[in-house]
Amino acid sequence: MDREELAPHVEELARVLGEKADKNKIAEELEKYVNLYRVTLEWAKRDILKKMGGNPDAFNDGSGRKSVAELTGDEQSVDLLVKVLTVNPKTIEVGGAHKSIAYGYMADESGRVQYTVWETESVQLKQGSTVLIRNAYTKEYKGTPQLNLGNRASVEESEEILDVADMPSGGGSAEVKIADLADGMNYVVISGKVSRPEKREITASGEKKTIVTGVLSDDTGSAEITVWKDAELKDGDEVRIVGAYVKSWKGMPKLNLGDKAEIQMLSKGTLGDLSSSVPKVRTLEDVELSGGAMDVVVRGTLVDVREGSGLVMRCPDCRRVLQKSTCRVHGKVKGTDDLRIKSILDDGTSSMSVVFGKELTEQLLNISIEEAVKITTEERNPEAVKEMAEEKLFARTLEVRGMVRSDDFGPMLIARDARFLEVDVREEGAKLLTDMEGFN
Amino acid sequence: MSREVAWRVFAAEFNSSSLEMKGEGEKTPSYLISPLGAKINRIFVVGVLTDNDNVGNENEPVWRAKITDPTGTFYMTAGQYQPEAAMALAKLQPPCFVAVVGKFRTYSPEEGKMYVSIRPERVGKVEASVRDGWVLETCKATMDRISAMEEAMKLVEPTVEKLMQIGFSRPLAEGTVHSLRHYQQEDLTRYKGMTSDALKFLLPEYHTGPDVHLDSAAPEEIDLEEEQDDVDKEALVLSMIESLDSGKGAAWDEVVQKGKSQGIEREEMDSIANSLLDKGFVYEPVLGKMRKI
Repeated sequence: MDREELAPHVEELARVLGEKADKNKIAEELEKYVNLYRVTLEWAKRDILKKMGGNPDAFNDGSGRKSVAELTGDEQSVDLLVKVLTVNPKTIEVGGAHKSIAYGYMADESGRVQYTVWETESVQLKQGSTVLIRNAYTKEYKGTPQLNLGNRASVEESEEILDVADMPSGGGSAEVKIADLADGMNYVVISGKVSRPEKREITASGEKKTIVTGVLSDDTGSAEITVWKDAELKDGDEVRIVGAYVKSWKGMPKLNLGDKAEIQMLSKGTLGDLSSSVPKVRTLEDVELSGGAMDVVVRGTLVDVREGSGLVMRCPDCRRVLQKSTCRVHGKVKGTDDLRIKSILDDGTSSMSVVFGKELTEQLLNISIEEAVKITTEERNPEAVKEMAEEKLFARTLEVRGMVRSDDFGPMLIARDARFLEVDVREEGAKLLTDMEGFN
Repeated sequence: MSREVAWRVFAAEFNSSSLEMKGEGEKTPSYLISPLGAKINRIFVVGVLTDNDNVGNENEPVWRAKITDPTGTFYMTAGQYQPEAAMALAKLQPPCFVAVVGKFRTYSPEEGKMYVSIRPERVGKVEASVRDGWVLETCKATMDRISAMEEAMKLVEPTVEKLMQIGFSRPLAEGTVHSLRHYQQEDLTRYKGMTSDALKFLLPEYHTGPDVHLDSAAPEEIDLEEEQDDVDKEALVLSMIESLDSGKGAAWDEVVQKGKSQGIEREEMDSIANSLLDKGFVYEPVLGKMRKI
């Protein structure tokens, strides 16, 4: 090992030894141990530390060796044995000068982590190689730890074989689906069909700029996209986007394409027919983890009809629901009738608030708003329609399509389509029984 | 804080639960860990309401009810703190299909003994198809728990993280790990048998006798014939009960009389009655009367 390679270890020893350190002396010692006596780097460092009056256990102080899943996001110095999944070079500007860095994903058997190499001169990573990383540090970004290889970090190729799947190739990063999008994701690669593209003029830091907004859809759902530069997108275009980032609004993930992002045009039909397709059914747990979704289909049991369901009166000016013919903002007004159901859907993985508007309430209860008004008046019971909803909907299984938004009260599904789900229990039961026999 | 999910669990599994994890502090929920690792705070049940009595008084009603599913009976009590459920129960006449969403309750009369029941939040009358749908869904959920348990047993040191990596949800992974520590070597055969019986309950081709496997090769043919004979007699007695029922159940003495005319003795009639009661085909609305469910 030459002096340059040993430099980060010298730095590390100097850091542990503190004031009493003489870097030249450390470097000399380390070179002697490693190159002359052929002691392993690890033992050499321990011995030198002991000899120079430091505590060899100091190497284990912060974190030592960890698996990816054990990372917390505040390790000062951590060692990891990982496979390099992707390497993406990038140039950034630091104080007017250009600097090369690299980023990507690394993984071990416990999980995957995003990394950044800040010193590409001393640390060079090869995609697909397994490496022992020493003295990296972590920072938390949006709740997930990110690994940083700074000037103290060193990397050794390892012969060990890690049981880690490779990332799908092409562009370096794994391609994801709309349903996988979550707030804070970076370097996203995704394919989908564009709809409702629209150019907009905005003023950003005093400059006029053209941006493009629209919607991107795949077989798992839809998300709004914003291209922060001018781009030619047409309705129905099939595209592959590389290097987008995700920011959520009210829990709904939105794709953003910054300066570095790239839009590749795909030939028509590459993604199949998406125009009429309904997104795949997702579990409520999965949707909850995304925080929201623009277009989602879920199935679950209606386990509660909540207060405020049924026939309500709304303010003619602001559409707020009236309490005793009084609007919170406009005072006593002559309200207009409306129907809605606020409910809880539960599919065994999680539960979620679901709101059905007038049309869906009419459809699910098989009643028109006029009939609802009539029943309420005749029975002199303002809760008549709510009670009807309880009777007809409680414990029923529904398939609901709509938009999920999150606020302080958690996620809420605003339904745009709903139907009772009739399951053929005999057919499914027989199938399950056959499975069970294989399973016994 | 998010709402607790409603677990789909059969009565036999629910009633065998004996591990409660009490929440520390005011707002932390408590959980009942089932033998298969369901981490229950809330439960969703659909079955037959077989008993429903006000054990309180008119002003302060306390409704105690029994709900049977293909594996056993759920017990529940609704009092003044469950006004909506109590009101709904007051209007229900057994037998009928009901759906219940509620929280678990435990009762320990002595150290080492634990009885569980449901404190209902919402009760509603439903159609038979809803019950069938629930049985199917609960079979699926039970099979998921069995496979989590099997995976966990394969691991030298099962942890929540390892189970989540295999693909199980966090609550199930947590429940499975807790369950393994408490229930030790739980016999999964029993739960597999329970699940396949519950599935057969949905399939008309098995209806004559949920406990008889007609198409499985039987080494002792005579036993099989006897069993088949039992099943035929049970079906016969069941039809007698149905025909003698004028709305409030059939008087057992009359059924016995009718049985005698068909050549079935009283003792055998009693054992058939017990078998039908066990299997949940009939229940006793009042002493001395039988009703088909």
